[in-house]
Amino acid sequence: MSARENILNRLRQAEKSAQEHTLPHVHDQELYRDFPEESPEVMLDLFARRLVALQGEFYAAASELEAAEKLLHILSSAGDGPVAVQEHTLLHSVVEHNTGLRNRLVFEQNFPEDAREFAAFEAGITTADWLIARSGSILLRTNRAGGRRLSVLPPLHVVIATTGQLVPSLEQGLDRIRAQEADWSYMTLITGPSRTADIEKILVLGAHGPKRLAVIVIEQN
Amino acid sequence: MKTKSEFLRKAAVKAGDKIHRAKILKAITTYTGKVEGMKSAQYHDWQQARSLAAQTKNYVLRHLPDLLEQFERNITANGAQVLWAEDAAEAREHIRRIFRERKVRKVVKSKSMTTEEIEVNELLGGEGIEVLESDLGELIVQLAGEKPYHIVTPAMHKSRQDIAALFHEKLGVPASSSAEELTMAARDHLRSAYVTADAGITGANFLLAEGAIVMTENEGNGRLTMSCPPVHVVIAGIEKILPAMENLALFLPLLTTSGTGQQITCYNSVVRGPRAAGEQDGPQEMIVILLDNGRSAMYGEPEFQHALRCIRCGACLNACPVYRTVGGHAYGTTYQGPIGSVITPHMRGMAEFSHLSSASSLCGACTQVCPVQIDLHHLLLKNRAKATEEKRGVDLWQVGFAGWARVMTSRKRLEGVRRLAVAGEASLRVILPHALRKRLPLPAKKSFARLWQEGAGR
Ligand code: SF4
Repeated sequence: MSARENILNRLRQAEKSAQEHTLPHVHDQELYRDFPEESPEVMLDLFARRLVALQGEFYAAASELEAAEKLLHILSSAGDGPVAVQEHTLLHSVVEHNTGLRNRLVFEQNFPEDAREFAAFEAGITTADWLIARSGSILLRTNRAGGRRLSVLPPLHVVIATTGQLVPSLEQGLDRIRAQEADWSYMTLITGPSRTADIEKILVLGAHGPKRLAVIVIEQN
Repeated sequence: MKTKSEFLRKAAVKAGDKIHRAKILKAITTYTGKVEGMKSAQYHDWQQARSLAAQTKNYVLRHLPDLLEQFERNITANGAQVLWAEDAAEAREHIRRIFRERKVRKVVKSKSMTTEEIEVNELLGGEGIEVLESDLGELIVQLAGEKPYHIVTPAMHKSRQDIAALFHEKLGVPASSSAEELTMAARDHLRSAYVTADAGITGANFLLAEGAIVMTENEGNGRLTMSCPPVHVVIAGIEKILPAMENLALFLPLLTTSGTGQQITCYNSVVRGPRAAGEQDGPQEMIVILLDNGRSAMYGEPEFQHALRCIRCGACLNACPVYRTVGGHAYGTTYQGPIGSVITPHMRGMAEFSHLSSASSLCGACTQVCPVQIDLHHLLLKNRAKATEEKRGVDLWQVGFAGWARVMTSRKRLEGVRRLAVAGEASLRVILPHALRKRLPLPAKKSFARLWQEGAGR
């Protein structure tokens, strides 16, 4: 008998005595006091406040042109090494506006396979799947985020998204993911820059992941 | 017996250690303030959240074998491989074989209690494989040659000065480094490890029956461990199952609120398999080892089964006056505090570990904080009963109490004993040592019943 059979048999034998239980269903709205009203302004405001409280950087932009300016501003306080960018139409049209930046940008098809070379990137730029207002989080899947490393290995992670991607709470984010099923192997919910409090509970940013997380949200009508 | 006397010895030392006490109190006071604040800021009703979580886990336990099979089927369809291990030795054997076959020389590891349970570091060390702990707290205890002090905060017992001295010796940083400088030293120390390791090992906070593992963390070391090396090995207990992604909307904030007092941890990753077709990067292989190691036996005991609802948040450790006094290392177990005292005897033997169930005042603070409503202090009591049942041979306590019960349940016998005591009192005082003689109460000359019959009090 294999370990698998032995374990499952033991569980099955015991299971008979267990009473039936149903899976409860609850909505985030009923559970969480800070569940926001589902208007773009309210959600954007809460998203921004939560992100900033966690020492993330928040920028609202009225247009792609303005987003490009904010991006330049964000990168100006980082080193001047190469910047890795996810392959995405929104990101293309934003960086189009930054002619000065163009020769520093490396798009997905030119990413190095070797992780050691990848570690040289100064920053990684991605879009988001969804922005979670209640926790100021970014939901990101690898099938569209330029892989697993792009948003975690470089010391600065810049997210460019739109107000149309805001959802009130995690439940709605996960529902949307479910609705657009795709072939993805990895999803991360990112809430603020990397942190630790392992030493005397003192908060330090940039433990292993990005020290800086900057989010630009382009307002859409 | 040795385990017990070790526990007593270490507990006595720590209980008198004022410096230790101050460090732990500082950490736990900070923790408690944050947790209580987050519960009331975030939830309409924390008790409702706890009960929903307990119900969800009850459903999972009711369907555990089916859900495990679903997990296996679904994650295998995503390209991952699933192995089963009945005990620590079998899990170690799997790991040894996996790494030998792939000629792995260097492994980066993110914090995982199951790997502590099966002692992966010792195994790999013996295989000549370099292992780097990447979680800051784990790195600290690894460099110090210690075991984790706490299931969530492995280095809770070390002050900044302790860690600075350790890093000064091992990593060459100035002995006066701040928490930030120490964290950056750890970051630099590990940066190259992620990109040069041949394999990454992680645990899992949850396994989704729909075919995924979930990892929650703050530092990003877990994400790097699952992103860079070509092989990703996951070691997870069979009780970690949740049905689907949707359940995370309840469980992720619940775990973090109880674990650290944050609303949600910095990174929560759902991993469905190795690199998928068309993806930019990710490991070529993902192997999940499902670990039993006493869990299915516990599952088979109706009274104890619900302890498998545990999500390892650490709240019961922090709430426990015994843990705070004797410290995490005294336990001599992978899981410390109330949950450790409940499950360790089932995982590693009642005879050797039942003393932990007695190291409790049964105050119930643990039960009150547990986010999945595990009845911890009653389970400690049940462990005591079980240990007594299992004990063979003549036990002085058992004989004594059986005799006491016989006397106390019969008026006649009680009267007989009283008479005997009155008659033998003088001679008893002679043979007893002085200290006891003074404490020995005088037996009443007449019993209450007798006095009543004689009309006293009327
Ligand atoms: S028993 Fe409850 S409080 Fe203790 S670690 Fe497990 S889930 Fe947390």
